[in-house]
Amino acid sequence: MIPIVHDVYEVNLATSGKLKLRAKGLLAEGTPDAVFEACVLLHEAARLQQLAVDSLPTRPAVTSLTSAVEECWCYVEGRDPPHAAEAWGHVLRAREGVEDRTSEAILSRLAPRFAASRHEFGRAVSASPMLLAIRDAGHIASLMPAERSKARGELAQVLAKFPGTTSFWWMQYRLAEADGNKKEAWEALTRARLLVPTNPRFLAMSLLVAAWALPPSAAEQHIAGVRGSIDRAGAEVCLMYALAEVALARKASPDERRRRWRRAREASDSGIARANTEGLRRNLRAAQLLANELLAGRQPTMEILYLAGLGEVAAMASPNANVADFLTARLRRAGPDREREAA
Amino acid sequence: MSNGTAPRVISYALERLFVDQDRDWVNETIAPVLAWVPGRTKKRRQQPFRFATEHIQNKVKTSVVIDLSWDEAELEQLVPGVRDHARRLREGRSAQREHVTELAAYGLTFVAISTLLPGRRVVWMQMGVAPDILFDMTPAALRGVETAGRATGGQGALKTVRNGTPVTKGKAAKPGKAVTLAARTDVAEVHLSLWCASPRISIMEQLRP
Repeated sequence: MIPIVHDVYEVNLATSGKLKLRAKGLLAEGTPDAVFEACVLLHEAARLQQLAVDSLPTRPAVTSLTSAVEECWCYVEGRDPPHAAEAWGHVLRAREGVEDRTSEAILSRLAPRFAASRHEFGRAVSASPMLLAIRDAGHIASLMPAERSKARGELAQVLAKFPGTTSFWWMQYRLAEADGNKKEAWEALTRARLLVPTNPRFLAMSLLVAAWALPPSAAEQHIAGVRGSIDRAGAEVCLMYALAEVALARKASPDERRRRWRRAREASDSGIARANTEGLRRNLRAAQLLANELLAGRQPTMEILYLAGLGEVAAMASPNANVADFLTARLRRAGPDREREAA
Repeated sequence: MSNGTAPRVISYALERLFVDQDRDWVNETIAPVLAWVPGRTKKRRQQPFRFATEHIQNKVKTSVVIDLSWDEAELEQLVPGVRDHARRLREGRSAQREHVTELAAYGLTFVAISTLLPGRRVVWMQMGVAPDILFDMTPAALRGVETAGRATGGQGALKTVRNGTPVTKGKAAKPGKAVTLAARTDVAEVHLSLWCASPRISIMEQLRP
């Protein structure tokens, strides 16, 4: 058993090292695209670093510390100060088990870089009043178009310096979506996904946004990549997949349309069993009812929202609104649980 | 030179790195070496590129000359696009020079490992913590090489990297790599590999055990 675990450790570390070296090469190139690609590789390297050390059945305290340092460094170099700050917390915790002289030596390279990055990021964000306002208010939908435009400008400036900041790409997506800018919304969400492909919300949202922003063939290609694993996917992915199928069914032939509705129904069924919040459960129930109505050949109405427990939402919408459009647009903007943060 | 005898000369073709080390490590460093080592003057661009190297192992110092050369056509076959990549790096913006130096120093350290520690193969690289290049990743018993490069400054610049800088007006002391590595209880074996492009000199010193 131990040799197997050790192999996992070595393979993950070796892969992480190669990604870091490749990233360093891209940073040397220095173009915006190369730097973003470097950020993607460094985020992956950080995850592999953590996987490697987690695979050890026991590990010396000093190994935990060096691993945490390496992970944090990847996020600093990967221009993602919020993730670096989280990893810095791991560094501080791991440091407690290591004697001072050794821990100071281990931190001698990272500590000044982390401090400089944090300082630079703080300065960039502080110079962006709209971003600060969004951070404090927490919602984008209520902003006026001019405010959103200003926020997008500020965000673009911060992202030019810190292109690995996943949470800001997510914010950029939400602002572009609120402005109805499909191209930018898709690009920003894609960047967030590339940086953290393990984030289920990014994957889930990409399904819905693909159906909205991409031509049908490209959208189909995107959601087909998830179709095979939908029976193992989380509830949020199931929900967005189901609604993406309903959206794509509109432009499909009658046979194809029914296949898509059936897949929407199956995904909703799978998702409900795995829903871990009330918001998700209610939205999945609505998607389930929506698919049922479509399969029965009936025009779905806003009534399904009341039946699904989303009466409060339905009460604020026009009674004649298209329920599928209403539900998908609402989820695209805020997700199934408005209080939850994505990244 | 230090023991009164002529330095040992090691001729090394950069293409040989693809045999001595895993190509995944080597690939990224070739273009930076091509961009960094020759320098900008015509005279300095003539092969072989001779590095006067101080090799310290088990506290015994010997002088070695590493004559580095390469065949661009062969390298181009091994790493397609490497010539153009090197040109881009040479013409690159100054803000990125530190990365080019760093990558070139990695490549040259692979040369040093292959020539001065024959048989050792790189298995891992870490960048947030020393040593950078490892040939044994056993937890709490790491074995590897810490590396650094300087474009200019010669022995003085490399000694500063090794020994650090004392307190000066308004600036705190900066510990050198040697003292930092000496404090590491989790490192079983470590060498220091330092490179300067102008003049072309290097140090390969075993710090532990």
